[in-house]
Amino acid sequence: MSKKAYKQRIYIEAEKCVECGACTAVCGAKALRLDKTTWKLIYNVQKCQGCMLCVSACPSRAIKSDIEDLPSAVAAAL
Amino acid sequence: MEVKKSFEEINEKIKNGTAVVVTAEEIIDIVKEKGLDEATSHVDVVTTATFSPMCSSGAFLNFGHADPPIRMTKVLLNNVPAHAGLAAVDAYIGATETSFDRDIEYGGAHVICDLIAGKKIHLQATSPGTDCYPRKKIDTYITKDSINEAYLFNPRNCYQNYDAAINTSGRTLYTYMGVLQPNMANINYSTSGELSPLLNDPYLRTIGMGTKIFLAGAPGYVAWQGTQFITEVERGNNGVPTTSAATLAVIGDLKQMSCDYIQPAVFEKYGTSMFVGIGIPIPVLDKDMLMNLAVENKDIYTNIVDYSVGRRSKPSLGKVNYAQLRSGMVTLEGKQIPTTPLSSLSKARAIAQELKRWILTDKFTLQEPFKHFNKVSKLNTLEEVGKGEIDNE
Repeated sequence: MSKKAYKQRIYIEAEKCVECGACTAVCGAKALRLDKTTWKLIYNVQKCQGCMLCVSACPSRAIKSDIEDLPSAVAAAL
Repeated sequence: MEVKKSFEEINEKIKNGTAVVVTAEEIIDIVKEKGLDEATSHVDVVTTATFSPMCSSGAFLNFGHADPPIRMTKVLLNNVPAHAGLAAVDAYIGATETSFDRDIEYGGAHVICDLIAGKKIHLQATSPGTDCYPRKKIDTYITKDSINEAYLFNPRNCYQNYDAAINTSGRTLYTYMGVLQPNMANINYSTSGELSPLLNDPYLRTIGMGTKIFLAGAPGYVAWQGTQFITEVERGNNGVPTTSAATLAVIGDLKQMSCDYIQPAVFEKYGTSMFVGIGIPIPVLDKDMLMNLAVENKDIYTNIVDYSVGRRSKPSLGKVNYAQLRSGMVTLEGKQIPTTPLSSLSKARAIAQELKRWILTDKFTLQEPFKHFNKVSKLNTLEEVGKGEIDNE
């Protein structure tokens, strides 16, 4: 499984993400945003406050919330 | 002399590999560079696309007959009810239907996409049993290859414009337009704007019954006007509706579709829906057609509607164009408000490019509509009346 980014706060499953932008509506920290040229989703881990509002706001269920959701191979590498 | 082209002439060019095909975003700069006359002569087809949540979607399935046979009256697919009020082994699975065990987290849209992906689906069906269909129960597994027909039939897709959503109340709203934060903290909108099919042909001059389309990665057709279809609405000077207007009913072979272009969607505390990718090729018949196709986001307007009003008619707080919405920030009542799309522009762009490739490489030709849709000036409403109060006029 490929991932756009991950750390302990959230990670995004690239295969599921359709780049709609729904998650950006709830991200007060502006850690999630759509690039204005490509309209692809960008996740800035430094800005992420870990509020997890994006997890349930994502219609594609592409955003996972915590370390326990990580595939075992990824979790083992942390 | 003014350039005029027919569907037949354009199809000949597609077949002999000389057609010039561009996307609805690319045509904007071409018209600016060449001017309308030269661009009309140069470009033959413009591809348009959208990838948005479209709740009014679903699939007809025919499971084939078991032995002994069953006339299915209740059908579950991965624990999601399908409508079986049809012939013995036909069913319709609606995208927004929810499962008994996972509620909105797994619904009809998930079943449809799992079928497209080639996964096994658990089929459970029951029946009272008849002389000709004696079996009363079946519990088995199907795939898209094990069943007979499987085709998407979506009664209302491809909205021609749609109101943007805002929330003036003090509480968070969970809607089919996504999460709306309290006190006008965000505006959500859902169209691909200048790339969107029906915004590029505002009077549906080239789109009607029989139009060949890209539907979720497979060739499909416009089958009928979509439900809640209305044409006589407020329009801008360029003819583009400034509110919800035309819609399309579309049909296509589910077995040929790709999950790259169709995905289930779950809207928190609202329900299940489905992102559907649709592309429509539009012929450049003449200069007027190209003028429509060169429409830009800055010239397409929509209303910002307050979803905190739980009534059929929701108040508009103002009009805004798609360039403003795409900028990421809109000023409303003196307040800077962030904007969010629900329609994936990157996916829509991929569809427009893929449709372009179909035409250029696979010789995907255009179909002139067998019938254009009639004008509709009014949508009926549902009123609570007694049996004797129905107006037959």
